Amino acid sequence: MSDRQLYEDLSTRRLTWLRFKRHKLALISGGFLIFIYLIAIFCEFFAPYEPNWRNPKAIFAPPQEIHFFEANGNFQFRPFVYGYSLRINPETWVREYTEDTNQKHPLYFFSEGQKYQFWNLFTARHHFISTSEGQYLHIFGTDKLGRDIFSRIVYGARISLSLGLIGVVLTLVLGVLIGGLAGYLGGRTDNLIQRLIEVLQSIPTLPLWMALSAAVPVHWSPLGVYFSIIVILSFIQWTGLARVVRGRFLALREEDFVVAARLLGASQLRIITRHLLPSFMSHIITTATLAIPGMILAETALSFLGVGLRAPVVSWGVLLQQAQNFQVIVLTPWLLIPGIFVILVVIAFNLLGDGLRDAADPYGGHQL
Amino acid sequence: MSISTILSIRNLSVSFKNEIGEQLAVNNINLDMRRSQTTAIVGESGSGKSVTAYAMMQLIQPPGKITSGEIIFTPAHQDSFDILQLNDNSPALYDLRGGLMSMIFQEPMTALSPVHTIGNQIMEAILTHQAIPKQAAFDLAATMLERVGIQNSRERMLQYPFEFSGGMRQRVMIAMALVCQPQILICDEPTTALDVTIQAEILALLKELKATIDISVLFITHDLAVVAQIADQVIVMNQGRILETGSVRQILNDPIHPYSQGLIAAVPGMKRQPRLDAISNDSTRHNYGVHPLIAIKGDRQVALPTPLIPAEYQL
Amino acid sequence: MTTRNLLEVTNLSVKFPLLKRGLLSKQVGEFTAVDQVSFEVQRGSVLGIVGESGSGKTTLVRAILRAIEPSSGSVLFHGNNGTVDLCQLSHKQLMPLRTQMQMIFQDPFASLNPRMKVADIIAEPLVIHHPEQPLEHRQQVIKMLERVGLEADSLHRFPHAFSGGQRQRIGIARALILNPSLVICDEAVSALDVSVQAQVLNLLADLQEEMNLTYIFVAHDLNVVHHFCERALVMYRGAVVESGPVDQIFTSPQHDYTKLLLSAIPSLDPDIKLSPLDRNSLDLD
Repeated sequence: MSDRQLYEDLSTRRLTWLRFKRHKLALISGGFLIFIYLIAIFCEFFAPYEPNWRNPKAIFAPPQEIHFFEANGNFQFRPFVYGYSLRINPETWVREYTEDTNQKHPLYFFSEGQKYQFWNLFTARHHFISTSEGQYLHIFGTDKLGRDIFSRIVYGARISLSLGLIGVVLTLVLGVLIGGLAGYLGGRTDNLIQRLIEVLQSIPTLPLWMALSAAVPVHWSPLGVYFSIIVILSFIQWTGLARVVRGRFLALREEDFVVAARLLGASQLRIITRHLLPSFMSHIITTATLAIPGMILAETALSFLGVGLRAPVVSWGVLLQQAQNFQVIVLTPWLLIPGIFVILVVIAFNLLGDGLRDAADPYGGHQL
Repeated sequence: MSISTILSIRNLSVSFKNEIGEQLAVNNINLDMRRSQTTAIVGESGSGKSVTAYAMMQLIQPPGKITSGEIIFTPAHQDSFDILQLNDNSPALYDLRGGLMSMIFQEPMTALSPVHTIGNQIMEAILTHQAIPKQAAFDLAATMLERVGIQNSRERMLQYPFEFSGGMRQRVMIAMALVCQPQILICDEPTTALDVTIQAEILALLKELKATIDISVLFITHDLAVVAQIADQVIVMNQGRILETGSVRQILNDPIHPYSQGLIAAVPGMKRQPRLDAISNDSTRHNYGVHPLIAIKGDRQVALPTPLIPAEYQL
Repeated sequence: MTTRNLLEVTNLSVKFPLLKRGLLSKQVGEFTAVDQVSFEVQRGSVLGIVGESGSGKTTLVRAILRAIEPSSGSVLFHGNNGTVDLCQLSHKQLMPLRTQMQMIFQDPFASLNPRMKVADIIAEPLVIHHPEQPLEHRQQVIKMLERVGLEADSLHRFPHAFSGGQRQRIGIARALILNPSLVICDEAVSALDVSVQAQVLNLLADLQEEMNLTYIFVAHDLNVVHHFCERALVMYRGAVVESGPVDQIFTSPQHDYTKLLLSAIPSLDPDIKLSPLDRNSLDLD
């Protein structure tokens, strides 16, 4: 079969994939996100320590460097870190940590370390990276209670990333349903829904979120709070999606192939499922992909302000709450590292969404 | 190239990139435009006729690319130059576009900016090429609008495109194109989107302008009847190649290439027939073979192998 | 006993409300797209409806099929199960009648769902109206494909793989697979290249003979109407200004607008110069 014939036989989905593959940045972002989500799914395995475990020998300790060479120049195949030796500066009372070359902590991969519960299902001991008993590893340093930042970031990924995903699913369901109804039924229903959307969108989001957040009962379990936050965030987000969906429905309704289906005698349900939905699925997926970073940032903002998730739940926003004062930047800048991850993930989702949008648009090129 | 040829295209090829690869929209064509005459390029969709017109003003954008050829333009009382050699952003190219050569398009609504008044747009065309005071430009624009048949032009200059009908917008576009007195006017399917009564008015306008202004016109269309009305010379294109050239009477009354014959036979005429002589397969992919254009009697050319050309036409 | 007429349209009007933008979109007036149109269509004939943009011809035929709601008037359809007024039926009651009347659309790119395979597109009418016989659908689809001149391996492809003319053929196959009696061609060849247009017109003519179809053929190209139709209506601003046998309309037009329209048609003969009538000198309303 010639190239042209192969091309002609492809379904729209395959064509979209081919077009998507041409966006190198989007591909890389997609790969990166898959990687991060894998880490989030297996966070207990990837993190060397539990998020609330404290190391009393390392309060506000800086990140440890990973070495392959000993101080005397010997190469060691197994990477290692040096322990801390603590000195409190007599004048400024600031903690100063230096590497103590006498304490060598070799790093072990895929071996036993701290005990953990994998998704609350079973107990295990194996970690991706760990040290032996009594020794410690803090790749990103520790916080004021001596908790390992790297582990907390990894555990936080699970909360932050899943929240974004589930939140967007909820937003999708609400947005497609309500927006679809408005676009398809038109008339008074459309009018009403549009006015409702406008009212919701005119309320300042952050204060609204904070107010709703404050209304969540204090005694609820972390999980309960988690889902309440999702609902609260989706409460506003669906309006944007609904508008997009409504617009697409309105446009599609008058397309010839939809009219043809009506004239064939197709039922409303058939028209919606068979003709309308598939046509804007790619649009929706793109919009959803671009909405996830919004969700993640929203949760981060709320938790940072203290009205979102709270300890002992660990999310990137909760982590950043520890980094709220000026001293952090000067004395313990590693507390800001969770912010870098937020940025990376948000950029990745945006690039991925851009790639998807360009791929899904069949008329992106020059038509002559 | 004789003095009566104002523009000469040699070996022009334009390719476009898409998911499957690169395809030639225009495949090594040669054509001449005669001074002060109307040359029509007629072809169906995919023939490459519009691409040829865009290439003439270096308007081809990626994913399209001019892969070879030259377009030699000889303005009156000036030396010839190759348009394709002009650099992007060079003053010579700016002088060319809208100055020596201008273009009118198929869709007047999308060719005019909806947020600027008509007057503004015509004056912009003037002021880009002439350093005259604004009032003078206004007067010039108003005069041009009257010339193309828009009454009360001084008031209408202050209106926006949406306040004009389709036919009026096309007149505005013609005014904009002619206001700097170009030597070549390219018309890319200017009447295709218009109702037949409006089309008749626009064609009448174009013919009248052609009679009073000395201008060479390149007219692109798929409608053979429009060609019959407005063209002096006709070029038949199909799938990026030229199949036949000749005067309008030669091509319409006496076509030689089977494609031209088929095209004419396929037009529903003025009498009721049971069937039209349709070109046999779905002609979008019909293969006529690749043959160079050969000159034949009567100052015509046809792209057929010599054995297939009837003897009485051969030189 | 079958009647002479398949369709009788009487005083059909379609009016659209003009809405004022506001919180509640109040109606401030109305726009008449189709103004008291009446005509008959004889069984087995081809009726042309010709007019320029804004004449209301597309609105008229869509109102007949109830794709747009008519404001007043009646459309008597003498179908297989007796005579009904299409304007009086609910959409549910119209469902079984849909098998007897179909439409072919103008835009070959927009009239087929780009995400459906050709086989599914053509089979859809069968799936809707005869869901109890899924095994026979495929056979019928293949037969229909051959009838419209497409190859059987088109079945598993998608619309974007085909040219404009081929897509129109797919649209024709979809419209005819249920064996309707009335087929409305809404500018069905207007978007096609001239040579392809000829093929499709020939196909439509052949199918009419084979399947005993009655056509309403909407077009803006008078030559095509002259070639293809027996009788024609000329529409201007929502109203029928002239009607009659096609030859008569062309050789001795009565209404000024028809005269204007005819004078504007360019001839293929370079020596016959176009001399359109001056619109302003005519009394068109």
